[in-house]
Amino acid sequence: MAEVDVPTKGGKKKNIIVHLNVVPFIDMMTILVMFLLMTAVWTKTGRITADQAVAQPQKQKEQKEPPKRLMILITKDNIQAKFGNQPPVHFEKSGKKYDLKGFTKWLHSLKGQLKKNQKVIVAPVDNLMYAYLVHVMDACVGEGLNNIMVADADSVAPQMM
Amino acid sequence: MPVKVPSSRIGSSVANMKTMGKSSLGGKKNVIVHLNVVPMIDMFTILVIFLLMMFSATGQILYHQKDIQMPRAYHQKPLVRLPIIAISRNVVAFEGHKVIDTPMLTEKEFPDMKVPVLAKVLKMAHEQYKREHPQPPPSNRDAFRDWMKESTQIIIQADRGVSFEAIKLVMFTAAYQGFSTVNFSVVPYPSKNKKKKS
Repeated sequence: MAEVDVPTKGGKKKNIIVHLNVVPFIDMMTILVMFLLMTAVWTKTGRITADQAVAQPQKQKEQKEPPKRLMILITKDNIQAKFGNQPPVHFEKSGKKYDLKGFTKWLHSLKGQLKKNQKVIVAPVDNLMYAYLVHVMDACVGEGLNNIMVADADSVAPQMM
Repeated sequence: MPVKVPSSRIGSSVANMKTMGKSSLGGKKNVIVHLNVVPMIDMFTILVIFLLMMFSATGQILYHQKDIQMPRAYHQKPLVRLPIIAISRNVVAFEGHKVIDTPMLTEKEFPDMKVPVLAKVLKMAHEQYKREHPQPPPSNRDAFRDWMKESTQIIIQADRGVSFEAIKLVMFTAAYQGFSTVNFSVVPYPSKNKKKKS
């Protein structure tokens, strides 16, 4: 029980002690805590969507791509990016890290030229760690490029020349 | 009211306690023991506020496994409930059941880019989805579009160190079975370190 001292009128010394029953409050709190502990999500997760599945390698066939396509090839040494008919840009690795800052800047510089729902083809080489693919896709999503397609490096490499 | 020198004082309930209060001083024995519940209520309130902040209506969609360390990302969408393929460095599992060993996922082993064991379970999952959620008629455009969008999605929860070759084989097999849209599950960077957009 909690007590509240209420002084009487006229400032007399005599106090009336009001007993406040906090038991239902504690009961409710306990139930609430139990429920919230059981339903708590301790680790947050998100998703990055790739709208298309992997394209089959077509080494010898000449591919007819729409003119303004943004292609990103991730190799062991660098990120190669090409937009439309522009010459490819290379972002070399510094140490173990890819130059994602430079790559993001380049994407940002393209903003005026990109279509509203610009298709982006990301093609990592086979032995590349999955995390690097996610980092590049993350950079693309950060620049508003949500229409990402993951492709095979063999199908994209000939077009990067 | 007289002005008192500021100092630490014990509350009235503590003064009445058997061990610390009046009764311990050898006065009249007090049978009623007052329990100070104020700190407990304080603690409960803080705990409730903290847990309410952590509350998520969607619940835990992915179960974190110790052998899968997901990559981190700055920009992501919230996860939704979809079929999950978990790829660790050793094992590929579909909805928690082991399907194949990850080191076996190479183009040498599967030159046609299709993993039959995985294809079998994915086909069953897709058929089950179709049974549970019948395809609306194409004349109902919105419902049909939503159905097409939902029925083709899958989550890939992969370890950051897995090679792209394994991911590619899983993705391609999933695409064969009708799951053409892939959601890569990621762990968001803490909002403190979030990149500021220029």
